Amino acid sequence: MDPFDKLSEDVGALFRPQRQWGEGQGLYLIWAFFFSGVGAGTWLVSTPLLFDVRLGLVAGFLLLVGASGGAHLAFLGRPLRFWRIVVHVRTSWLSRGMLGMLIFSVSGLLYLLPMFAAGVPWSMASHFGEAMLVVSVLSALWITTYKGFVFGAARGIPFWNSPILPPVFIGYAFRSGLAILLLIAAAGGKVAGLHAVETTKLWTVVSAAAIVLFYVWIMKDSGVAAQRSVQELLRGRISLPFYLGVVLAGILIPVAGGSLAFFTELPRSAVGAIAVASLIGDFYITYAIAKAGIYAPLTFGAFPRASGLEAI
Amino acid sequence: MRYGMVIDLKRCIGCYACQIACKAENATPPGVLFARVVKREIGTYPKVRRMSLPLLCMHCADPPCVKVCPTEASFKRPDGIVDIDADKCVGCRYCMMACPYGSRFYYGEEQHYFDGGGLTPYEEKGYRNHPTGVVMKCNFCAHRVERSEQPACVANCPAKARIFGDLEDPESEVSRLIVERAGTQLLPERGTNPSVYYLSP
Repeated sequence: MDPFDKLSEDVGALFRPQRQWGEGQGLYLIWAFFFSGVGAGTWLVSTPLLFDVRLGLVAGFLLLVGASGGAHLAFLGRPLRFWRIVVHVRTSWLSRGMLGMLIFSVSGLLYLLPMFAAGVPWSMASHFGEAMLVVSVLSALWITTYKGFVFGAARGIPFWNSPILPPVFIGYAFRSGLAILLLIAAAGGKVAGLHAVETTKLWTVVSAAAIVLFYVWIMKDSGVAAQRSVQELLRGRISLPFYLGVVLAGILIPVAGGSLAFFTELPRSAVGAIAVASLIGDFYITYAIAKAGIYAPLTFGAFPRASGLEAI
Repeated sequence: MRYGMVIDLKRCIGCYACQIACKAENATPPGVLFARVVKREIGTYPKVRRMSLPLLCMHCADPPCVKVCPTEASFKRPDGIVDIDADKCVGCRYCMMACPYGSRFYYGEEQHYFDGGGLTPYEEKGYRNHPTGVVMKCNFCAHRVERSEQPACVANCPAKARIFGDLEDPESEVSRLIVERAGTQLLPERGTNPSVYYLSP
C-alpha cells in the first residue's frame, strides 16, 4: 500500500498505530536504539570494573559511535542538521540522550587512544585515563537508560508511558553487552572468566524476561490504548516478531543454552549461536515495543449527550 | 492573547469542507491533512448515531510536542499558536509520538497528486512552503490570522460550526460559547490543555 494511502487510512482509525518509528526509514531508529544499547552494554561489561576485555571496549565504542551514530543519521529526515539535536536538553529526552552519546564519544575515544597511539601523553591506567573511564562509564550508563525515558515522555502513546521501560532497556543493554563478549569468545578472542560471563548472562536474560513480563502485565490494565497495544503484541500484527524474536530467540534459547552451560562446557559454535540468538531478541524487544505503540483513541466519550451511548 | 477554536458538533454536518479548504489554502501534499473529519459510530443497535469529529492541531497550552522537540523547531508563539520552524527541524518525528491528536505529519519525500505529469503549477508554488525531510502541521493559518482573517477551515465552514477567537478574552464568542455550552476538550487526561473546544452534539 502507498504510504500516503496508509497515512490517510490511519488518521481516521479509532486505534491509530504509530508507524514513523519502525517502518520504512523509521526502521533505522530501531537499529540506532539497538546498537546504542549493545554498544553501551558492551562497553560497560568490558571495562576493568567488570570483565576487563579490551576487544570488547573497542567493539562497544564502534557499535555505539559508529553503528548507532550512523543509524541515527540515516533515520533523520535532515541528517546534516544533526548537531541541533543537543539544543533542547532542558526538556527533551532525545537531546539528553544525544548529549550522553556526545560525551561518551569524546571520553571513550580519549580512554581508548593510548591503546592505538603510542605517542599520546597519557595511558589507560593514568589519572587522566581513569577519569575518562569514569566519564565514559557514566555516559554509557546514561545511554542505556535514556531510551526508556524517550519512549516514556511520548504522551501520545499510552503503551510507552511507563516507568518500567528504563529498567527494561537497562537490562537488555547489559545482556547485549554480555552477548558480544560471548561472541568474542566464540570467535577465539580472549575473555577471562568465560564461565562467569555465561552465568551473568543467564541471570540478565532471566531478569530481563521477568521485567518484560511485568511490563506487559501492567500495561494490559493501563487504559484502552495500552490494552490494545498488548493485544497487538500477544495476538495481533506484532505477535510474530514478539514470539519468535523476543520470546524464542531472546529468552528461550539463551536460557536453555545458559542452563546447559552450567553443567557442561559448550563448544564455541554453540556459545556463538546463543549470543546471536540473544542479540536477535535484543533487537526485537525495541522493535516490538515501538511497533506496538498505539495512540489513545479520539472518541465522543467526553461529550455529555453522547456519553450515554457506548462507543464502538 | 491565546487563539483558540470552538467546534459546534451540533452544527457540523460532516461535509469535509474544512478538510478541503485547508488543503487548498495550505497546498498540503497527499496524505497530509492538517484539518480532517473522522466519522464515528456510537451506540449499539437500535440506539446508534453516526457522528463527525473534525480534528486539527489543538494548539495546546502545554504542548507536549514542543517539550520533546530536541532542536526547538517546534515552538509556541505568544498568541498561543503552536508552529514549526522547518529550518530547524531534523525530522526525528519525536513530536509525532508526543502529540496525542495525530496532528503532525512527516513529509519524507516529494509527493504529488498526478502520477507521470510532475508537479502542477499550483503544487509547485504551494510546495515551496513544505520542504521535505521535516514535520509539518496546522498553524491556524497564521498567515491569514496575521492579516486579521480567519483560518481557512473556519471561513469555509458552510454550517458555521467553527468559531475562532481569543480564549483569554472573556467577551469573545469562543469564551462565551465555552462557558454557556460547557465546551469540552479532547483527551483532557493527557494534560495538554488544548485550545480547541468542542460543543456537545
